[in-house]
Amino acid sequence: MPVHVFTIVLDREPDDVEFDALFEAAGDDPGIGTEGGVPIVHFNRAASTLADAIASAVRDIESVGLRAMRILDEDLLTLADIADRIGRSRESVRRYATGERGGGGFPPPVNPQHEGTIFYRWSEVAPWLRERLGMDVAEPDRTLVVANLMLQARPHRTYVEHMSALTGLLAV
Amino acid sequence: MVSAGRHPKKEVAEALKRAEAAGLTVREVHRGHRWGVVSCVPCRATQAVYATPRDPGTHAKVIGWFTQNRAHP
Repeated sequence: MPVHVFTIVLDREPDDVEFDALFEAAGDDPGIGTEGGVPIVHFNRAASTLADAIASAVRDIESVGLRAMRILDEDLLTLADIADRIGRSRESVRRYATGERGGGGFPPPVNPQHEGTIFYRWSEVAPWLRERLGMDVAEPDRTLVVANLMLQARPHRTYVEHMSALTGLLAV
Repeated sequence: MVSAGRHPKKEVAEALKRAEAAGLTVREVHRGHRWGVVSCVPCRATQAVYATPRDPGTHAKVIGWFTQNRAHP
């Protein structure tokens, strides 16, 4: 079975009992630590698919009383970050975003109404760069993107009236 | 602080030596399954080190990745 590598952000740092329980539950030496002061667990998990690997890791984490908040990724980027990633100037990328170059249709920002830093999703921008500009950029891993959205939706689901109206959109 | 070279698993001990050589801090804890912790103070990043990892080779690799990912060697 292939080994999948990913990092999950926890809701809090494990205490001594939770730490040992997670080591025992996971069975594959989970890399428990912090990144930028944020508690994380790094997994090298053998499973038939990445989705299965993430789901079993989340269950292991939550079996010991911790909460899996999200998968660590670099999907949220500023235009400057995108420029660095593709080796173009910031001004070029700004023109892609405004439609002055690239023929328009650049993916919308996550927070367009915000007056400060504006973020874009690499998982949306990368396909646009490939299709419109023929750039050889790495395809984002869609499983990680979906896993993250699932994990972030879970804490809110019990507050949503008629949740199935929204989850039904996944089938459309 | 006791030398990181004393981890009972050779691969892990070598990974810890490389972490120390790269400027990271290795501290022994000896609590439960924990042998110790590697940390990078500027990054506020830590990585637990197990006393008896199931797969010492992979555990050593994880410590190696942790060391390589630091922006403050």
